[in-house]
Amino acid sequence: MLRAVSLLALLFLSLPRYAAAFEVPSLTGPVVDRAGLLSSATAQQISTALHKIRDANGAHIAVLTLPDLDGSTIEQVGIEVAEKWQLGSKDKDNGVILLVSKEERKIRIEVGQGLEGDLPDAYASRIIAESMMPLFASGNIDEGILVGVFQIATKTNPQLDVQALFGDSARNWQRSQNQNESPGILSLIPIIVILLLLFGGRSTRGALFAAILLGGMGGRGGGGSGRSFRGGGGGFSGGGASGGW
Amino acid sequence: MKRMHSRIPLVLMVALLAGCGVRSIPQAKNAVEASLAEMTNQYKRRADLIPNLVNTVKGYAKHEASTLQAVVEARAQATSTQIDPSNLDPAQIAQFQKAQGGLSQALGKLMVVVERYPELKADRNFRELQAQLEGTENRITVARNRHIEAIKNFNDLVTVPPESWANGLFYSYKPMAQWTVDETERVRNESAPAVEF
Repeated sequence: MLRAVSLLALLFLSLPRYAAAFEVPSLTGPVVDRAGLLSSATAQQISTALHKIRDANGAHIAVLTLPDLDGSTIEQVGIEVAEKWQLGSKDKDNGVILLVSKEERKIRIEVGQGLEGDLPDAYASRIIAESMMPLFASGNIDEGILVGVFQIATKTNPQLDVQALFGDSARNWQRSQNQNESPGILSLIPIIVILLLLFGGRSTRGALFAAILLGGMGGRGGGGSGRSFRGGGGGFSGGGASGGW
Repeated sequence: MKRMHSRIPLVLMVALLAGCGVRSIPQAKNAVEASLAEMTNQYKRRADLIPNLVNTVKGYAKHEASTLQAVVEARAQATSTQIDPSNLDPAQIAQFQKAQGGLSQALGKLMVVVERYPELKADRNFRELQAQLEGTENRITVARNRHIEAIKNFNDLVTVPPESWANGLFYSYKPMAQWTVDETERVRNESAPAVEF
């Protein structure tokens, strides 16, 4: 028996992992910003929104930024993180991870098995290429991540008013969804809002806009919620897309 | 009293076996079968994407008929090579891997050729297909790794004591043939930057 036990112990010790030695950070909340790419305000905004979505039985979405990939590919790291965090519930498999690596300049959206229909590979790829990459390339990583999270959340939670959770400015982030609309008109929206705010003066309309704008910001402190953000056993099978900037 | 004594070893043995493979060996076998089904499913998904991809490329890259033809033939070869999950032998696995590896290689070449056609690369339909193909290639890698892990786990159970004793007593399963990273697939992984693994 002793021999058997020692044999088994040896077996466990020598179990090779199929990807390179990479330490998966622990899931401390919806935003795990190891590379320090996010401003605290943006991290707070994302965190609050993702907690609320989760609490409303929506998708279980998390953001992870890494300083580097330690020699692995972003796909290997993505599935390793997915297997460790197990975002989403066991029966719905509704987790999504937005992964960004600073050193290699890579982005990956890892989509849980249950959401592959709502957020197909081609769409995930489009979010990266058309919404995130241009912002990343111009050095606006903070906003790029915010926009990426917003689009993932919108696509995977059609039943929720995701825009309200992210604030009114979220309206011009929907570019890749309304690709047939001219982006010129969309980019005018904030200007129109500002004009209304300025010239609407004390009119009720202006006040209403201000209220929506401020109310929508939502980040009134906290970000904490009743439910923990721990994984619920959601499965991933490698779906999603990768890109670089 | 004497009967009691004779039962003690039996009771002990049952208690021992309950934690030593009687349940875990069939469970591991089921896990192998499930992971194999998932893997072949993903290979099929890849094959299903190809006709559409070939047609899209054809529209832009008229001078690449031979590369396209190679993909079509490799696909035909891959879809006609089936594996029988109930009877997996090394030769069968090698044949299946060779056929799928051939398709991977042909696709890799196509994706390199495609780089010469900026209009094709800008085509929305093509980009969506490319994203789907990349996603599916990644799913194949994941499913393959999980299948290899499942086989490894099963083989450990049937060969390493104490579980192997339960196997000898009740099931007499033999270790299963393991998959390998075959040569064509390895070369392809290193030479085809367009479709990432």
